[in-house]
Amino acid sequence: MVSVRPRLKLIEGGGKKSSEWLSPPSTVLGKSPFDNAAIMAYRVAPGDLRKHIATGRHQPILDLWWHVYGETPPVPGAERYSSMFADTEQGLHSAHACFRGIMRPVAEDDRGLDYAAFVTKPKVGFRYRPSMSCVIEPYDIPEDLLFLIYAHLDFPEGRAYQSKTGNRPVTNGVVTHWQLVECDPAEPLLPMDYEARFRRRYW
Amino acid sequence: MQTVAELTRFTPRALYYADADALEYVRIDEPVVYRRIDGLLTLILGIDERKPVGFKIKGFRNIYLRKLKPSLRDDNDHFLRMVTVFEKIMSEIGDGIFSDSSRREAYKAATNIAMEDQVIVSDLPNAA
Repeated sequence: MVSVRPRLKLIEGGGKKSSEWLSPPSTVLGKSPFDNAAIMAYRVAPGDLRKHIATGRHQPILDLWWHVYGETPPVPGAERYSSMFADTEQGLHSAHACFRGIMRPVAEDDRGLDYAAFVTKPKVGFRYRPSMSCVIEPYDIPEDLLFLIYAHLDFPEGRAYQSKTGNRPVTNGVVTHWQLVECDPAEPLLPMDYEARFRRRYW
Repeated sequence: MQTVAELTRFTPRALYYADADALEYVRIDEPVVYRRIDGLLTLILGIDERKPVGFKIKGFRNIYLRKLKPSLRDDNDHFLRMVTVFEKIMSEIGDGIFSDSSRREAYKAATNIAMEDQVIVSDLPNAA
């Protein structure tokens, strides 16, 4: 029998702490799909986020901070934007409409039925523009655009209590992806083709 | 500590995003607009001129396992030409794609991007 001695391998940077903007919070607060006056917590899917980071794509991560968490991306020099845009509304908690079912298969969910899509109407966004003072800059979002945040619901039928303990679950779903979309010309606060895009409207 | 500027330099790649179950290719690291074409294809447009800069194939895991993986020569094939992916998708849709001019043009625009950039898909969904 041949014995193989394990080899020590140096992992470069293995102990280095990621900067704050690359380690966003694992949960985000937002409105409930079943009652827009109630607040629920959602997990943020880490896998696709890691892929954006690995490929050097800044924009989805900036969008996550600003359009999903509703916070200025925590990069050096960006602190002034928090006060500059203190009156603007963005983030999952500011959603004004919510739909159920995304009318396409998503992995194990054949009909995309367990997804909720939240609609927000942000006025500004951030993009990667390195300068002497900051690496990001704000830009005006065109009037015809909306922001969509998709969440896979743990309890799509509104089951609010865990059967064994009777307690409320800590989180109620996972935010999977987010994007800017065009609005419906007839109903500018709803996404284009919303009737074909979603199964029904929650609120 | 890694800062924004120190993030890996952006290089366009076709990537499979498992959480969203979508294959996405985008040429630019800029704000973009996602325009739904149908249940399979979303065109990605530049925010100002609204010209195509990428595409997203939705529900890609299902397409890959059902239509693409069986045609791979052996298990050692770990990449696909994006143009081949579009050919398979369009043959699946059939005549429906030719009866709607805007839908046809959208698929053409996405295929052109795949051809011009010689997009290769090496980031494939897991079978499990």
